[in-house]
Amino acid sequence: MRASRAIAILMGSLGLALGILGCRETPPAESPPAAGSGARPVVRLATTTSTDNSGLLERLLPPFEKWWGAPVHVIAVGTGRALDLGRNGDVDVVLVHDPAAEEAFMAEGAGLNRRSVMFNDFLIVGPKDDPAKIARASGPADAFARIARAEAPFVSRSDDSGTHKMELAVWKKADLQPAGKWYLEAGQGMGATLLVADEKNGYCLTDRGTYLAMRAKLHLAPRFEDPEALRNPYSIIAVNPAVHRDVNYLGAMALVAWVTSPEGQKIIADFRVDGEGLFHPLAVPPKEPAAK
Amino acid sequence: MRWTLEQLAEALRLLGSLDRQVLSALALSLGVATLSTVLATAAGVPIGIAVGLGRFRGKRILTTVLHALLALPTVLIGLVLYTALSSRGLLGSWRLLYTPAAIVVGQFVLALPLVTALALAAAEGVDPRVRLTALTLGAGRWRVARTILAEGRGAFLAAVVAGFGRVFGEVGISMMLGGNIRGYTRTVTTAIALETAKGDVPLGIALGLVLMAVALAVNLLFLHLRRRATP
Amino acid sequence: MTNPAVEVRGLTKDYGPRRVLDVDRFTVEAGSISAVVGPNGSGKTTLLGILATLEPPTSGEVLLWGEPVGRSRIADRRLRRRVLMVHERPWMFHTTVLENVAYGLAARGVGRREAQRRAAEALERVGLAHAAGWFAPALSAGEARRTALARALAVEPDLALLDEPLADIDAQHRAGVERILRELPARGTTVLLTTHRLETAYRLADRCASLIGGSLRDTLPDNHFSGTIAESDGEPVMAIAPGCRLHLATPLRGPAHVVIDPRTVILSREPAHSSARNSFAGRIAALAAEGDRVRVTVDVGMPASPRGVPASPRGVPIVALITDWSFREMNLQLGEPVSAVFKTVALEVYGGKPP
Repeated sequence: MRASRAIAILMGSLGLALGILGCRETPPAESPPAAGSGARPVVRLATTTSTDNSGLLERLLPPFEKWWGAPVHVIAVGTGRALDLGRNGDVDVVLVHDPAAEEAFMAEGAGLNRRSVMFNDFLIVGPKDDPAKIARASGPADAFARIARAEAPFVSRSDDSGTHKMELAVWKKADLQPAGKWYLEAGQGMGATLLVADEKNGYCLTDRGTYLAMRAKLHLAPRFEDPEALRNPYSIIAVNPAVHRDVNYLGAMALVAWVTSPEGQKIIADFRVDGEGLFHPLAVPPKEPAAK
Repeated sequence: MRWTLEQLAEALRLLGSLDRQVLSALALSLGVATLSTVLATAAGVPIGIAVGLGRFRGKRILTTVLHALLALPTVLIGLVLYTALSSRGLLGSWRLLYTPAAIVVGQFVLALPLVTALALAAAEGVDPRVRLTALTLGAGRWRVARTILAEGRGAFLAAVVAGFGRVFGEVGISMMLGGNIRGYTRTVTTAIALETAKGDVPLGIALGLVLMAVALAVNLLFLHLRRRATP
Repeated sequence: MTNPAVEVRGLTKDYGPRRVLDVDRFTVEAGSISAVVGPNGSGKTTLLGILATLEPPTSGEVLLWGEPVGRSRIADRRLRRRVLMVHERPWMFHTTVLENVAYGLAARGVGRREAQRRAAEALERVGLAHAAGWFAPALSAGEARRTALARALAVEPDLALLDEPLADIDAQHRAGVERILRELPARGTTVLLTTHRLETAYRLADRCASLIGGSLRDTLPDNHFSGTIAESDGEPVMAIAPGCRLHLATPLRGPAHVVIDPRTVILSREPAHSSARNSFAGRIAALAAEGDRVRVTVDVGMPASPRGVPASPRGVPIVALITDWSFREMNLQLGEPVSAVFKTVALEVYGGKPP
């Protein structure tokens, strides 16, 4: 009985050691240098899954971490939830793309120093043969109307995300309430929703970033694009320390400064997915025309 | 069919290249699962023995409630604990949210009813003569409990194994309380969820295979322990 | 009773609707060896369990050394430490034989070294010193029983309750175990043992009581027969010896015990022509005076032997209790042929099942 007890304790300790190791593992960026002023606290950023999935943050954040000297913890959830995390003070800064919700957020006094960072656009992907003929639509609302008329399968994110809200706004503009067997509410992230649409051979409103990342896996292709009408602007907002005293306000403001700085904006401009540029910087637009 | 095989082949190929992030996720998964199982065992086994051996009025009801708790969905546990651990919540000042410690707390809550229920069954399954013999030989309450534990060690070990298995493969709690932060709270299971949501099926499968391989290794270890415990 | 170690008053134990124990009065003298004799299922184990404070009675009082059991947990714990019960099928913990024997000592806070030393001593006394390192559950039934006895020897309790201490002990070790049991009172241990064999009780105990069907009698029953109630021409009978069958009046069948009160046995020189259906020819094997009564033991069911020669002991004894007056009038002698006669309704039946 003694020997097996010893082994059990050993296993437990091993697991604990691994746990502690795992807990202390920092993001791939170099560990923050423990400068004389002492290590800076973690900056917690809530953003949307589509932003995280695009891969932009992996380019944008490491230089910031090195410069500022603190790791950034990214929590990727839907826009609604990201703003909720900000309201609750569970994160220090939010990066989202839903102007209406952002304005409400600011009006509540939950955030400070809202800055426009960049924009990309939404597009409607669909089956190759385009049964609803939306390629010839006059605008997003018309495209949606055609889909509804044809009762072609349409997959919605239906998760209160920025994409979903944009979709709802377009339905509203078309004066339609989508309902029926053709309207499928996936309730998932953008990537998963695209896969569902692909499977059902239907239409889907998606942001360009996720589409580019998933392009190779999909049979669907862009059927309707309107970069002006379907513009998707991103903002970054620091959580108000007056509401939550112990948020990392300085870190949040440093991150806001970084992403809106010429250096940060250049990284955004240069970012490519599958050979195509994705985001267009708003804070410090490039002098030359944006790559398309 | 062909597509499935292609995905599997890709998964195996990915397994070959041991990514640093995968190792980090694995270490985290193992660490939090072990820690939460140890805590759940420390709490659940004594309670299970005490209730299992006891003869009191509400015993049946208590046991039924315990079994009902086994059906708790992980997302529900995650959600309830989120409201407690959130900055605005009851335990907000502890600043546990989106740290590995929060995952441990959540998984502890998940494993506790399971370990307790199985420990209870194990205690009841021990031959009644054990308790009587221990008592007549002069054992006090604690010694009787320790003796029950020793005599039923196979079943008790199974309780611990079941608890570990439950938390090792869960995703709801890790996601809600950990936040799936790359390199910090990204467990193998949340990574699988992420990759599949992004449509990267081969990577999801590869991670799943890694998870199962480790689970198999852990269970082999338990088997070895069990063999040594019962000559 | 000068110094009772155990006193029982009005004890009953029910398992649901079934009353398994009904003992009006029972005492065990300190420093003695007492035996309770009874068949399996008579409640012996339950009685010991209650006396060991392991089980509570349904009603009644148990006093150990004058102290009532069941007053408080602390008092019970203290009493339990002075009592040690060895079960009929003792449980061997999943560890070595030595650890098993040392358990009771370890539970009492004896240091590891000392406990092992005393345990080894106890094992030596029961002849299992060589088995100290063996895995206890692998022992044979007899070895396990001796190990369980060693547990008691190591602890040296004030009261030892032994359930069938000699069952399963092989012939080679039987004498040794009996010697150990007899030595226990001298070492300060009062012994109460149960057995289903009369000879065991006679050989070891100072006082005996019998327990049948949950009821305790202070003396061993004479005329206690175990057998099977079968049907013969529609009539219930139980064979007790070759050519001897008891005629019963009962609806029960199957394995059962039958007791005949000696006071209901009539002795007759002639095979009686009477309404009594039970009439057995035999020879007088023993005579004993008991106050104004005489206890006559008649061996029945054997082949005849010449008058004056004591009957060979291969028959079945039936005891009759007759008045001194009747004895002298009949002028009964040892070895004389007589018949033992009793009515069917005089038989007490225990056990058996309704058809």
